[in-house]
Amino acid sequence: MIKALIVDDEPLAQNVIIQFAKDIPNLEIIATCNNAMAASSELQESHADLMFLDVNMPRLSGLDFLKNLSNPPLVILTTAYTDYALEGYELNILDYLKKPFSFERFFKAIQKAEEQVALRKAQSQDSESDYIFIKANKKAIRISFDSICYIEGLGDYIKIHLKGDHFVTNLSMKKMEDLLPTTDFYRTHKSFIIRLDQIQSIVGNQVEINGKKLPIGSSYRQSFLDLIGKHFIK
Amino acid sequence: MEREKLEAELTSLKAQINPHFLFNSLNNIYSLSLINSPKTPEMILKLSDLMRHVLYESRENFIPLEKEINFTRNFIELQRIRLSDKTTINFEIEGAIPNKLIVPLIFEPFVDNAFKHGPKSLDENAYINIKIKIDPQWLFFEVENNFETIDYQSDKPYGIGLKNAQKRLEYLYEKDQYDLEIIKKENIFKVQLQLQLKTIP
Repeated sequence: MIKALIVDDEPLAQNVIIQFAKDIPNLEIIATCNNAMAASSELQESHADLMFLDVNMPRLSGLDFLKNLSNPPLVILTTAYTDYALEGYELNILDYLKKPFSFERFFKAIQKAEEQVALRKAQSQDSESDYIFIKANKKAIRISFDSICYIEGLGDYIKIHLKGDHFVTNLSMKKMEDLLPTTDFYRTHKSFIIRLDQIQSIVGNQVEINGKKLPIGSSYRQSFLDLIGKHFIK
Repeated sequence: MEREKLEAELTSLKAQINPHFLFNSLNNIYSLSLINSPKTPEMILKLSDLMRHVLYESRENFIPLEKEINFTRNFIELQRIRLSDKTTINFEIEGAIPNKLIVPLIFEPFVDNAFKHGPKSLDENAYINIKIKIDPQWLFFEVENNFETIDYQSDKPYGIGLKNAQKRLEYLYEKDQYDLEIIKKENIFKVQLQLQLKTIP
């Protein structure tokens, strides 16, 4: 699944991508932003694999925004201008879509993105270990991923819930989400990441883990239920 | 010789629609068509009327006022669909439109400027008020918009489009035939233009 962010100041231009994404099962639009500032805080908040970025926006142009971004996701520039292609490629963009663009052309760009996302995942999994050290209670504590039940966000801190134990450490939800293997963990709420094999039941807007009922956020709900749906025996 | 030079200079100053405006408008109409919006046919007509005006009707130094006002109306409607509903746009015409002549595309740079710098910089309470009042010898045009003040810190006070419009007025009208005021006060930008309408010879 590719998680993508749309950054464009024109609602109808956003709509084109939203409509096209409906026909691509592997593409999920996690947020739409009207300007670079909103995109910047969205990227700090949640994990995105891909960003559709309009070049010409008020306040801060898409390219200036991209230049100042440390650790950007994959970027597809979308613009009515043809003169930014070169500058864009110097910034390592994945593709360049000239508005208006066809579904076929859009799909080609998404296929490129899929390859890159798969490659990035494979690379990170090679180097990935199955544990981390966190700072808590003035100690460096080793947490192995398979001991985690779920993670709770508390502003600048997170609370890692293990079976019968928990630790609070100074980390953001976004950072934690990036560290965890996406095959085993899932963000179900602004303040919750759960380990999928710990789910006991799902009732309405809540998921039950380790005897605790955790809320499912409205913007995370559909993609989470889609994921669960794949295992649903009717 | 002197006259030819002047003509050449005038041609280079002639207001031209930004090609990006056309592509962005096409993209917005494309977006409407993807969701089968009933607005689609109407917007295609507005865009073709607008292009006809820019490509053919505006070739003369002076053109009928009615055509210029129709163009302005289409331009505003096409700009309007680019924005969210959070912006209030008013376009008022007062007085009957007489059978007079005006310099083509003279309102466009001012209207374009209002759309470019106003509503897109503000998250809410953005407005653009455009007024045309006809005397009938004189025309009063006013466009007012609010904007986010931080946007202007790095920007030049106003762009090349507004400067060109100013120069075209200088070339084509005597000093006592027009008056242009550009006012920037706090978070409000306002352009006021008074223009003596030419009589059809």
